[in-house]
Amino acid sequence: MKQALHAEWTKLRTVAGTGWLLLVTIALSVALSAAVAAAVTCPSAGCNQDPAKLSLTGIELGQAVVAILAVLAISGEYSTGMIRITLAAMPRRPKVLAAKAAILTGMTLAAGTIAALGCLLAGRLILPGNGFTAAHGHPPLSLGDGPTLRAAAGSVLYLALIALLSLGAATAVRDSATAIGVVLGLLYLFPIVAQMVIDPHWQRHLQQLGPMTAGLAIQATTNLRSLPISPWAGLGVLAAWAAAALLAGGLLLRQRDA
Amino acid sequence: MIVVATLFITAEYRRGLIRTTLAASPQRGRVLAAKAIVIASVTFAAGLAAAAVAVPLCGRILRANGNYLYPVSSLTELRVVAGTAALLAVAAVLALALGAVLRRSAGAVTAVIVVIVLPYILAVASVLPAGPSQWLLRLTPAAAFAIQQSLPQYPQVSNFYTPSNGYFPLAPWTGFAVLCAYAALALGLAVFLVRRRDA
Repeated sequence: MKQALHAEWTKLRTVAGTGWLLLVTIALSVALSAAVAAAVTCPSAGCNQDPAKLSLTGIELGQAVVAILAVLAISGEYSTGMIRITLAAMPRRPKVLAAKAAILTGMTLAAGTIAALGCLLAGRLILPGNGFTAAHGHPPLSLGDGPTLRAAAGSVLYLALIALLSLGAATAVRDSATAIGVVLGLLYLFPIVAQMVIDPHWQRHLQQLGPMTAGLAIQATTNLRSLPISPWAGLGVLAAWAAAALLAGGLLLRQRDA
Repeated sequence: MIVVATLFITAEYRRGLIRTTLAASPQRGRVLAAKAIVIASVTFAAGLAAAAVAVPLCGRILRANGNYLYPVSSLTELRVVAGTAALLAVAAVLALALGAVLRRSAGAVTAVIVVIVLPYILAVASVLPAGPSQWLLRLTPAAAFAIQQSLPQYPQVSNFYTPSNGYFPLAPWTGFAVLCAYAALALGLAVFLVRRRDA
């Protein structure tokens, strides 16, 4: 397993683009969070906003870049034919996929930690200027606060699970454009459809099922009772999606010719 | 359709077919224009078929389930159906242009989906208050979703005319024009870059 990990690390590290994609993930997340924090105001006490969730909005954009990174980790090999060399060198295919998943998770966790911290920092610096002050019931964001820490750490885990979901889907589909279309469709479709459904019962169910809507419940720190799904259960739903995608990808990888 | 439109050009780059294409028709601007016309007409036809079936069918199902639908004129219904098809066609042209600019399938598909869909999600289904949401739906390609709006705004009725209630800040065709402008801009950039770069 150590050799497989080392091989995957070498491949992912030396492919042009990995470093850039990780940097872009961080930059876009923090930029969107800063923009959202600058756009929202809290004129009076009890403005019913969730500062932690507001500051972490950038993750919704950063996940798209993480998805590209994860999709390219496997479909890049298919487009260049490298996958045949990989599988000749390491004939045990589930091991290859597991090594890829481990390296990808590590990279995403590292970049996601920086991104989430940057988002929170942007919120901490910008939000007080827009009325999110202690006088209005919003003390400055701090990681010492339990729910805020959970939201930040959960966002990092969320990005890692998105990477695993994308890796599984790309292993099943093999073509990079199709895979990224499938993943982003899955992520962004549920919130749009849920918004259009009028029946509140079905709307709630769709929000509980969607990988993005359920997974991002981890970012909520206020009004937890009104959420369609509790934070950790939501992350569990996303983990189930990721596990299903990896399982499907792994089974297809075993059965098919490369 | 975004995936198909992007692959229409990036697959040529990956397989090297682009060199054959450009050798056969050296006027590169014309190659891109021809590609844009083909993808736009194919997408428009497919989108028209889908919307023409979906809109009356969903209306009937909604009514059968006892929902009250605001009555709309047949002209508005025609605009929603044709507009949805046109929206898909222009989005496909935007995807083609970004595919030519970026020459990477995954990057181009993500860019198109993110610029069209993410502003819509942020504006309609997120924490953003009404003011910034309306600006998002004025300035980004997501403005084109205004073409699907069928509820009129009455100045004498004080309702919440916010995006999350289905009201777009721009008039239907103006919103559509925003997406067209983005697609034209991207196509112009693509023609410029494809002319300048080696294939």
